[in-house]
Amino acid sequence: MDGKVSALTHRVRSSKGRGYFRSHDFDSLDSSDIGPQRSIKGWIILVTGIHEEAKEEHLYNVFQEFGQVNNLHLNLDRFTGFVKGYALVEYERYEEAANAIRAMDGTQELFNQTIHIDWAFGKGPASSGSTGSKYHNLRSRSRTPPRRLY
Amino acid sequence: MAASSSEGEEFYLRYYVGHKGKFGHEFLEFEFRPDGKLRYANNSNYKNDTMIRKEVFVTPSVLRECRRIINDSEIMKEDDNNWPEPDRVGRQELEIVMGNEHISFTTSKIGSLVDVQTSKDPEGLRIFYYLVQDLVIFAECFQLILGY
Repeated sequence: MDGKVSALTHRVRSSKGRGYFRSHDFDSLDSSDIGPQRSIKGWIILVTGIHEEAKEEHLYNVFQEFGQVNNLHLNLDRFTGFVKGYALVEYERYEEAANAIRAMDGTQELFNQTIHIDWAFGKGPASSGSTGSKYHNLRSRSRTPPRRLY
Repeated sequence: MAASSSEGEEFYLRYYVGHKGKFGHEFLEFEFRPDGKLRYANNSNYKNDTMIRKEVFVTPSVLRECRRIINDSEIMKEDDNNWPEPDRVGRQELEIVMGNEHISFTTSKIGSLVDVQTSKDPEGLRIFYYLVQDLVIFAECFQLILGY
């Protein structure tokens, strides 16, 4: 556990559990140097507040209205088998994702339950009080090229 | 909904599962840090020694949803003192800081619900058993969508 996290755990009022003493047999996160992931393609938004009986196909149809959905993950609750409540939607273009957020965030259009939408990935560390709109995915390939004046 | 954590609270989550299987030592570990950094590592020795390591920053909305999942499970009310100890075969570690509370639970690998039901704390262990599955799916969703 590094210093920052260790400091965090010392600020708490209550602490429970055996804690851990890592035996040498098992490898872990800290054992080698890693850099940030560069090859993120697409623009990914997180939808939360999804009704537990939501159908993936319905979600897909709704979000497809804003642009080409390249990926949609709607995960299930392992205990109930119902929808867990969140989904990740990946769009090809920034504007499509931004429009989806703008149009659907805070609405009840899906299943009469308020959903929230925000970007999933950020450029860097979050500072407290920052809003989701500042963040967007890292992209390794160039965006739509600017208009060329021939 | 359980007593919700406020926006300004600190949040940290780490989950580790490791075991000595047929193919050697395998582990999965991920970490959601207070600044939004998600670190993920998966070492599966199956076939080739493929190690996946990824790091990315997620937004406060993602951390909020992670907290919601944890709050709904009510794991913070549990304790691991009657859970099976980690053994040579495997171990799991779940560490969470939410505001003023910190849990650092350690137990063995859970093979199935039978292990939960025959344990000394089936209620608590069941909460742990389902929560870690939900958390793994949650974390993997973000690293999967990143591609390679």
